[in-house]
Amino acid sequence: MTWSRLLCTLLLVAGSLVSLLAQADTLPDNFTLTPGERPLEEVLLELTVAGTQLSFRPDQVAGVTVNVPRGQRTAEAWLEAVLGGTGLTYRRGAAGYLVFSDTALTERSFTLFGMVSDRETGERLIGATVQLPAEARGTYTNEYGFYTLPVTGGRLYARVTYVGYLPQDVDLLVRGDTLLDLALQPNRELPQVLVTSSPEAEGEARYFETGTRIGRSEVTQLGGAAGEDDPLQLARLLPGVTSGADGIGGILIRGSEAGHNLILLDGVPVYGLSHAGGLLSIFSNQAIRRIDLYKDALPARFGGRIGGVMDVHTRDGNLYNNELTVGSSLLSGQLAAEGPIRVGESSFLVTGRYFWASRLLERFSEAYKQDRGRRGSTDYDVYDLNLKLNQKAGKRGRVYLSLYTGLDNYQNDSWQSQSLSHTNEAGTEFRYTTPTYRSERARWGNTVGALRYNHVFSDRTFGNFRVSYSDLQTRSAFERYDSILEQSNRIYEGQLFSGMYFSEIRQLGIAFDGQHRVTSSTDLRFGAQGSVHHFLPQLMTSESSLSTYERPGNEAIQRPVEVTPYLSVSSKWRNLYYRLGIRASLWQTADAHYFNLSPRLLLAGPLSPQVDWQLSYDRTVQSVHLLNSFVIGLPSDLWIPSTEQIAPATSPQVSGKLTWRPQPDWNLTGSLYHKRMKGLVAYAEGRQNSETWIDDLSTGTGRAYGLETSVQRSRGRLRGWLTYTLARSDRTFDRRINQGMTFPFRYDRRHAVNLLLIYQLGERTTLTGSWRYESGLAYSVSVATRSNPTSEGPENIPVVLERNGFRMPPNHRFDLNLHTELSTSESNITHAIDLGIYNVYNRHNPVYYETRPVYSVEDDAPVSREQFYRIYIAPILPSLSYHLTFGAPARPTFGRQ
Amino acid sequence: MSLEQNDIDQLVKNYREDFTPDVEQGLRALHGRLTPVRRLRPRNNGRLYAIAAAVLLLLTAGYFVFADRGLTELRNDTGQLATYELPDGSSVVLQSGSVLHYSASDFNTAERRLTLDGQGFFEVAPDADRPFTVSSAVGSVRVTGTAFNLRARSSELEVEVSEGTVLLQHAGREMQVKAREAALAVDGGSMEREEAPNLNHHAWRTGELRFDHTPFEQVLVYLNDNWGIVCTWKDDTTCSFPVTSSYHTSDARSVLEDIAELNGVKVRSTGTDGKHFELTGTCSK
Repeated sequence: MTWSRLLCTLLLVAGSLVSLLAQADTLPDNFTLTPGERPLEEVLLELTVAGTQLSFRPDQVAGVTVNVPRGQRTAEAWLEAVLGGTGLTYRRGAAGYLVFSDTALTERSFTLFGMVSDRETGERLIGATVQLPAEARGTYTNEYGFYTLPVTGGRLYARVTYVGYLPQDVDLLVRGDTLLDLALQPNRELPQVLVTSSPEAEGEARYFETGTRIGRSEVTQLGGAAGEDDPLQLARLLPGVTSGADGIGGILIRGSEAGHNLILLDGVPVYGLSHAGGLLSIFSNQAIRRIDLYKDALPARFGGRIGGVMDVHTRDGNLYNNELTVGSSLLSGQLAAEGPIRVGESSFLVTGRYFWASRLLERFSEAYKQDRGRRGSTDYDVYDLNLKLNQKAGKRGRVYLSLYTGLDNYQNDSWQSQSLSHTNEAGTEFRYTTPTYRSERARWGNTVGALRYNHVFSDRTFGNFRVSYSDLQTRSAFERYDSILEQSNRIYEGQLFSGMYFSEIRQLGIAFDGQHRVTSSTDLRFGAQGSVHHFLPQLMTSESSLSTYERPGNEAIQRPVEVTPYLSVSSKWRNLYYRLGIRASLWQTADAHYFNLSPRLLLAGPLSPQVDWQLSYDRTVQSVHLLNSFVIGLPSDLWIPSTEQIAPATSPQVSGKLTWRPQPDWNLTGSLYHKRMKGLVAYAEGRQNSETWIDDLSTGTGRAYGLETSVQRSRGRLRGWLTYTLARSDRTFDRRINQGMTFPFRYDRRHAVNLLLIYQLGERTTLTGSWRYESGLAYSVSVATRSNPTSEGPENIPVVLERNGFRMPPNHRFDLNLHTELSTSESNITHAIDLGIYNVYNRHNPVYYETRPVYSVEDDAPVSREQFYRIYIAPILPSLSYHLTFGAPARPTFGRQ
Repeated sequence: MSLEQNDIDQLVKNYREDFTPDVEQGLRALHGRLTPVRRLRPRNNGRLYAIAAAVLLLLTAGYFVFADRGLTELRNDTGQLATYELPDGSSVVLQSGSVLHYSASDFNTAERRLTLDGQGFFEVAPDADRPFTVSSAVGSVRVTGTAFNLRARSSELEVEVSEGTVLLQHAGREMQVKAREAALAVDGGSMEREEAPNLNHHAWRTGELRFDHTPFEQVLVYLNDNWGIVCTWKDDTTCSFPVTSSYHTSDARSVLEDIAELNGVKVRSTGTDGKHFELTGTCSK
C-alpha cells in the first residue's frame, strides 16, 4: 500500500463520516427548483431528485399546479412554499416527508370573511353574493360590504357575484379563519341588467333580503323632471309606493303617510327628503350608491317610524383615481369630485347641486303673472351638498364621515286688482277695486351628519359605531287678503289672514350595530341607538300682517330622549327560513315616558324550485308625529314629539308575498298586506289657533290594505316591469274630524298601474319610458259656504261636507328619456347626455284646488264668488341634461350601483 | 491485499470522478463490499455502524471457506451485508441469511457455476468463455459479464438486472432480461418480465427505493422481497392506493409506516423479529 492510497482512503473515510453526520440532520442543504407555474407532482419529483425523501399519493396531487418561487431553500422550506395554497400539507414521517391531503382540515370549520369592493373605485359593494357553488349555499355583503361565511377547511371554490360586475371565482385553501377581500371588475360587456327590484341575492340570502333595491343605473336611465335624475322617481314606479302628482307630498308607502317613512341617510334618520315639496328629492344621484326600500319584513335594526323604510347609502368616493364630473340639467348645475386622498386608503367625495333655474323662474313667473293681470313673482332657491370622507383605520376598520346639507327657499307673491263699476238706479256710478294679495314663503333646510367607524372584530363579528346629527328647520308662512274698495267713498271691506308654521328639530344620536354569525345558518344582529332630540314646533295664525309676528320663544322647546335596543336572529329550519326580531323603544320626555316593544317576524321559504313564499309581521312604533297641513295647498310639515297628551303611534302589519320565477329573467310577484295604524295625530278641523293648536290635536286610527302585483323582466334588450296595485287606506279620528266617521286617506289610491320599459338601443344608449296611473287624490272640497256667526275669522266659512270626500281626476303621466354615454377608448372623458320629455301627452295632473274669490256685480251690489282653480305643476316639459366626467375610464353606469 | 487495493482503487476512482453525490454512493458500495465477518458486532445504530464499517475498510476483508465435499459455502449470518470476492474476480453481496455454494475445484475452469439460496447481488467479471450461472431450486440465471440482483427462494427465482443482460432459465424455457428489467420465475412454470426502472429489488443493498404511482400492495411486495417484511391485513380488508416515493434508507419499517400513514393505514408490529406487521385501515379516499 502506498502512502498516497492510504491518504486517499483516509480522506474518503473522513468524507463519509461527514456525509453521514450531515445525513442524520434534516437535509439542511439549500437548493433551487425550476421556478414557475408547474404541476405539483413534477415539483415533488424534482424535490426527490434533489435528494429529499418523501412520499405522496399521486391521486391527491393530480391537477394541482403550484407556483414555484425562485431562490434557494431547504427541502422543508420548499414544501412549505409550494404546498401553501393547495389542499395538501406535509409532515415529517419516520423515513421522510409525507405529503398528503389535509384530511384533518376538511373536518374542521372555519370562517371566510372580508370585504367586497369595486376594483376600479374601491367602493364597497352592498349585497354582493358570496357563494360556495359546491355546497349550494352562500351569503351576501352587508351595508358596509362585509361578509362572513362559515366554511369547512381545505380547498374551496367560492364565487362572488354582483349585478353589473363580472363574477369572480376564487380558489383558495382554507387552513384557518381567512380574511378574503375581493375586488370585482365592473362588467362593461353585458350591461343589460335591471337592478331595481330584481331578486338579486342568490341562494338562501334572498329570503332575508326583504328590501327592494333602487338601482343607480335605472335612476340614470329613467331621467327625471327637467333632466334631474332622482332615485325617488324610480321608487314611485314600484308597487305600493305613491305620491301626489309630480311627486308633491313626498313619498307614501302602503297607505301610510309621508311622515311615517323612515328615511335613513347612511343610517341617520332624515326629517325631510324633498326639494320643492317633493318635485325632487334631496338625494343627488351622483352621491347615492344605492337605496333599499322596505315595505314589510322590516329588519329589527329599523325603527322609529310606522311606514316604510328607505335606507340610503352614499358613495365613498374613488379610492384609486380622481374623477370630476360637471353637468347641468334644465334646473340645476351639478359638480361632483371624488378621488383618493391616500391611494387605496382614504378617499373623498363632494357633490353639490345649485338650482340656477330659480333665476329664470323669477323672471318667467313675473311675466306669467303679468299676463294674467297680476303682479308679483315666484322665487325659488335650492341647493344641496354632500360630502363624504373615508379613511382606512388599521387592517380591520374604516372611518366614514358623511355630511349632507340642503336648503329650499321659496317665495311667491301675487297681487291682483280687478276693477268693477256699476251704475245704480239714481245714475251714480260706483267704482270698485278688488285688491287681492297672496304671499307664501317657505324655507326649509336640513343637515345630516354622521361619523361612523366600522370594525371587523373577528371572522364572525362585525360592528359599526356611529355618532350622528340630523336636523330640520322649517319655516313657512302665508299671508293673504281679499278686499273690495269702493273708490269714491273709500269704503273698504276685506279680510286678511296669515299664518306661520315653524319647526325646529335636532337629533343627536349615538348608535352601535353589530352582526355576529353564530353558525353557518344562524346570524345575530343586535345593537342600540340612543338619541337626544330638540323640538320646537310652532304654529301661529292671525288676522294681522305677518310682520307683526314675534319669533317663537324657547319655552316651548321639548327635549325627549329615546333609547332603542334591538336584537334579531335569522336562521333556517329545514326549508323554512325565519328571522325573529325584537326592538324596544323607550321615549322619555319631561313629563311622560313610553315603553314599546316592536316584535318582527319573517318566515320565508321555497314552495317549489321556482316559487318562493314570504310571510311577515311587523310592529312599528313612532314617537314623532308629522302634522300635515294643506291650508295653503303647500305642505307645511310640522314635526311634534310624543308628549304626555300624545302617545306614540304604533302599527302592526301583516303581509305575505309569493314570487314566481318561471324563467331566470322573468319574475312575477304578488303581495297582500294589512296594516293598522294607531295613535295617528292630525289637526282638528277648523282653524288652528296660535295658543291652542297643540292641545287641539285630534287622534285617530288608520287602516290600509291591498294587493300588489308585478311582472318583471330583468334581462334582455327590453326590460322593465308592469305593476298593478289595488289598495285602500282610510282614517278614523275622533269627533272633531269628520264627526268621527271613517274617511279615505288623502292618498288613498284605489288603483295604481306602473309601467317601466328600458330599451337598450346600443351598448351605452337606452330609451326609457315610464307610465304611471293612479286613482285621484281624495280631497276635501267645500261646495258651500256659510256665514261666520262669530266675530272671529273670515266672514264666510267653507263647509266641507265630507272629509276627503271628493275625488280628483286620476293622475297619470308618461315620460320618455334617452340616455347615452359617449367616450373614446383613449380619452378619459365621458359625456353623458339625457334627452327626454316629461309628461309626454301634457296631462294636467292637479295638485290641489285653490279657491279664489271672483268679484262681480249682481243685483246692484258687488258680490264675490269662490272659484275653484285646479293647480297643476308640470305640463309637457322637455328635459335635457349633460354631464362631463374627467379622469374616469370609460365606465357605463349601467348595472352599477 | 490485492482485494483491498482493488477496492480502494475503485473507491478512489469514484471519489475522483464525482465526489459530491457519490460519497454516499461510495459508502453504500463500501457497505456492500465489506466482509463484516464475525468480528463485527451488529449494531442498529446506523452511524456507529457506518463508522465501524468505514474503519473496517482498512482491515483485511476475508472470506471463509468451509470445505465440504469440495463445495465452497459462503454463508452470511451476520445480520449485515457481506461482500465476497469469488475466485474469478466477480463479487457478490449476500443478504444476511443467504447461502452461496460453488465447487471449489470446478469453479472457473470451464464455467462458473454457483447455487444461491437467498438474495445476492452479483457483479460478474466479464469472461465470455466461462459462462457464469447461478442456479436455485426453481431455475437458473446465466450471464457472461453483468451485474444483477438475484433472489432465490424455494418456490421462486427473481432477477433484476442493473447492467448488461442475463438469461433466465426455468422449466426448460429461457427469457432474456435486460438492464432495468426484472423477471420472476415461479415454481410451476410461469415466467414474467417487467420494467424495473427504479431497481427496487436492489434496495436491500442500495437503500434506494423509488415508487412511481406504485400500488400499495406492490410496495408491500418490494418490502417483502428486499427485507422479508411480512404484512397481513387485519380482518382481510385490504386496501390499495398509488404511491410516489423516494427513499434511501435501510429502515424498511419506517418506510412502511410512512407509506401506510399516507392513507391512514395503521401498522402494528407482530412478533419480535421486526419483520411481521399487521395492517388495519379503511381505504378512505
